[in-house]
Amino acid sequence: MAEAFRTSVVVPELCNISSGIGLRAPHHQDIINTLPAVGWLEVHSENFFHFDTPHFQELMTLREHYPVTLHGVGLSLGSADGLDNTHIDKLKQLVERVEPAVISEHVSWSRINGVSVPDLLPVPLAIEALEVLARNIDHLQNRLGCSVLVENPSSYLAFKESDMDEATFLTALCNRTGCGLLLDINNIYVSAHNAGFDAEEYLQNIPPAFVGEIHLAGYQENRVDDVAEIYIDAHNQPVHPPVWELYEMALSIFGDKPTLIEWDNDLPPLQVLLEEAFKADDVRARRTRLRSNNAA
Amino acid sequence: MLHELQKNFFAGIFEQDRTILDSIQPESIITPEQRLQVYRNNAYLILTEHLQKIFPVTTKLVGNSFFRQSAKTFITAQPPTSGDMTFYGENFPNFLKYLPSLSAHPYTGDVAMLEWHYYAAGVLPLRPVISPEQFQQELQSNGQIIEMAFQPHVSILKSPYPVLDIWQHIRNDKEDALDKLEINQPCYLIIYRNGHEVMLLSVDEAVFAFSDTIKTGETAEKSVDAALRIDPDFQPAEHIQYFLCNKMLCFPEKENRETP
Repeated sequence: MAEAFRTSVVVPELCNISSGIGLRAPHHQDIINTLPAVGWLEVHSENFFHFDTPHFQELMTLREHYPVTLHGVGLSLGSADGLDNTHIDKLKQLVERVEPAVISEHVSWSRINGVSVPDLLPVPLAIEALEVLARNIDHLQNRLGCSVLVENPSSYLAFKESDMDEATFLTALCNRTGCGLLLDINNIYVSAHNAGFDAEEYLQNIPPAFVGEIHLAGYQENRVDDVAEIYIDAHNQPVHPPVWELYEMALSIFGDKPTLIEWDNDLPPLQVLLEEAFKADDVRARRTRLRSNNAA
Repeated sequence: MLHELQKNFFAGIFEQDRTILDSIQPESIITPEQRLQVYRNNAYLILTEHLQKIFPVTTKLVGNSFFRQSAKTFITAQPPTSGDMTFYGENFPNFLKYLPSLSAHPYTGDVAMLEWHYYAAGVLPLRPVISPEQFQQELQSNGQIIEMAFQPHVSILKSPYPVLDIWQHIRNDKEDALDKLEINQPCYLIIYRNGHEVMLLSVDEAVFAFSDTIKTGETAEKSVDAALRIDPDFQPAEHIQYFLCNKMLCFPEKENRETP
């Protein structure tokens, strides 16, 4: 069944347009009033599972002006219990209403034995978790009738059971299910720091054709003790300089990709978020020029 | 094996169980316990912030520190059961109501209940409304009141305390005014959404009884009877008119209708 969705992960609606931003409730009216020159808007799917509410109406107003992508945070694709079909059905209803350019979720889990936590918990990078994820992604894609992108989460620990690196794991997942990747460059940087792997090598091991979208966000440095720091994927500040550098490297490997700025906590004025998106546009334009020059 | 690992991970987050630590790679200056603590902190932080967004007045009423401690106890006892967090926190007002440490402030749970309904009114769906014209048409053609229900976003609240006054004073940073309140004043409220705005309507006991009976799915006739038992002069027409004009009424869902 997964074969039916084994198509290109290129998203025509998002190609050759400016970078997008995550749409958060405090910015709704500002964006409706000013319609800024941003490429597209991404919303957390679960925030719009209840229709006919003021927020949903605002989303549908914005949908008339921008492509919208749905980014799930609560489906728990890596759960050994399988997926919650009620959750999928709500997502499907939302998809029918919004007609998103992309549907995405995370390579993580958050629910077991009927209990959920609103976080993106890590899976062991091993065959059993790969099979569980592949089964759940197949189920999701079959139920939705379309392919999805899955995002690499930030991780703060590694399991003893893991026997492959994350790039290999994600590549195998795409090969098995036909899904694409939403590559979060900040998450790669954060996980590389926390687990001590090479972020550039990670990028080199991802097949460019699998990358459908890129996320950028800010992280937070948390001191554990006098000598150690854990980086937290806090989404509460601008994209850090080393993440911009890694992003530029990603574009040099993958070619131009639809890019989105995420900012969820300590939300700044809309203009700050827009400037981050414009900065991503500048990097994309520079890489495209370089590629053209090299080709010439 | 994955199921066991995930079960142990949750026990590590919510029950301080240490079994999961054996599954975490130790080769680093940061210990498995410190690494697990990041997830533990995230879970409680996200859930506490979720509750604080829904209950800002309650947070001010009990103080930030007490709220966060209470939220932690609540989250541990009743973690979410769905990836859709919209309605997580519905049981928090009742949890506060029976918290022994709040027994000197018995209205706290009801203030939180008001806040829950205020929040829920903004996220609950809107079903097709009964218009004043439809209502009149039915009344004229059949001589009886149309079968009606409240919109899902309409809530009815009764408290032995003046929770609306308490809520308004705290919301408007007028905590000093609380000392002047007569604390044993009952309060009857209807909370609903009008367009994008959530409205709080203070009503008397008869209107409360009328509205509460409609809310429980009873017929209009039984609802009027409930109000008349409290106020023999109760006039339903003006209240139904208010409900109709504010788009608070809809047709009952078929599966909820009682079979005769």
